[in-house]
Amino acid sequence: MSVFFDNLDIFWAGLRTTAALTALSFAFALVIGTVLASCRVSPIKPLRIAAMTYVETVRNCPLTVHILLAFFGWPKLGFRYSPFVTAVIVLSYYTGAFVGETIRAGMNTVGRGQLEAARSIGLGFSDTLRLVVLPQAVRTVIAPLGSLLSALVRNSAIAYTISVLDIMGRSDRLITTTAQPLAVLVGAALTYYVLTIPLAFGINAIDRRQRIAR
Amino acid sequence: MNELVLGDDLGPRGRRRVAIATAVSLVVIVVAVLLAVKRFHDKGQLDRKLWESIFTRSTARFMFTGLRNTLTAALVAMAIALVLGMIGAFGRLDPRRSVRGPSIVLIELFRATPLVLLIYFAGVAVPRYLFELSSYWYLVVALALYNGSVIAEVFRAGILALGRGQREAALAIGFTEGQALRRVLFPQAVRSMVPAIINQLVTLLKDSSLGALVLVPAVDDLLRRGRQVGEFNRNPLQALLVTGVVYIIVNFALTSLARRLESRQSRVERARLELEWSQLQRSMA
Repeated sequence: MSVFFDNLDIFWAGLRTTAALTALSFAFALVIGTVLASCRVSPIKPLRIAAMTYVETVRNCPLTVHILLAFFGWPKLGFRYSPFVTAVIVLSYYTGAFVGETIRAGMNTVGRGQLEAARSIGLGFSDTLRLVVLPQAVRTVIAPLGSLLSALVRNSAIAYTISVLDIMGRSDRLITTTAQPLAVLVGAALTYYVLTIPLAFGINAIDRRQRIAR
Repeated sequence: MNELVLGDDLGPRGRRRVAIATAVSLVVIVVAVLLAVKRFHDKGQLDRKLWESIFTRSTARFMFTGLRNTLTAALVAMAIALVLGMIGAFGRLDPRRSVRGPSIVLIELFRATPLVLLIYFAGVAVPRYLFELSSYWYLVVALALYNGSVIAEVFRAGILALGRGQREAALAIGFTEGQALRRVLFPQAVRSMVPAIINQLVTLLKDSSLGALVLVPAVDDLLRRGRQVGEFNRNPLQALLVTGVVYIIVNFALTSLARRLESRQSRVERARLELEWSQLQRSMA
């Protein structure tokens, strides 16, 4: 394990890249997801169909295919970005599809009675959405969104295949230079845990609070 | 949930507004699609030759074998994961601390590890400490371990969503905790979690493509073969698009099946399960 402790700076640099990759992608994914969810409950049919098509195609295609397509395919169409930017774009639109579905699922858990009650006290469409549905939907959705963030941290490891120097990418290089794959990979796992385990605890804490409240 | 649930039926003005928005959004979508097609055309990516080489009989057969390998890898891994998941769920719900503790640690550890890393690790560790196998099996081992931990949580969510009355009733008629779990709670949980398990199979199927990227030598699956077609014909964009479409068709069929099974469940049950499940679904690669 001395390989791990001797190269802590390398793992730290990888951790920073992974954190940046994840944070940026998640921010964009939240925006994309909110737009998708809004489209899917809107009264405008073309938007509903477009959002559904987006979600179904993006979600049912492996992330690996998305990332290879971006890396080898986009340049053919004249889109050239650095590996890091490519990874951020792909992770954003991929995770966005999942975020959209999660928010929509949250809206669905708001009981029908709530909607009828809102209507009977005279609230219109936007007031119902803003004052009744969204506050409840957001609360039920925080824990699942946290899970998506955790999944994103782990999914971001795929970026190493297009030579982004995240935790996985730097570990891959370290394996070639040190020839100690097992120790390096255990180190990489520990580095990922720095991000994912506190996140899991946070999600569980929020989840528990919310359960009591309901 | 749509506008009919959220508000009263629209009046003439509301209907007019929706009609206008519909027309505008339709135009925007059509323009966006046309721009994308134009881009392909301008860059010469709609050239017949680039597409024709994919749709020959020999290429189709080549890709089909890849798809078969993907499907068998996914199904074998899923079968093992179901067994591991059952053991994991029982362990995690066990009243004894000495059983519950290690189960929780193992499940959480596997779930917290990136699958990419786990597959890489299996490719290095299995041949060193166990036996030399093919990349295919390293992939299956990693997928089974990771998904076993996810399935364990699926089963647990299913059991927890049952409500405590089932367990209490079982105990009241003289079952032990273990019997109640195995004979009363688990069978019901499996039934209600079948859609979730199929959805997890979709995730697993997508994840299986990592074997073509992470392991050396690459697993000879659909993605690997799609890439080879792209390299051979120098049309990576087209080859990968077609590969993606094949994955989408297979996965869409599976998700539709899951949705049909789900629609048989009651609205309340569905919402409850969906919530439990969405909180647990952390895998999506």
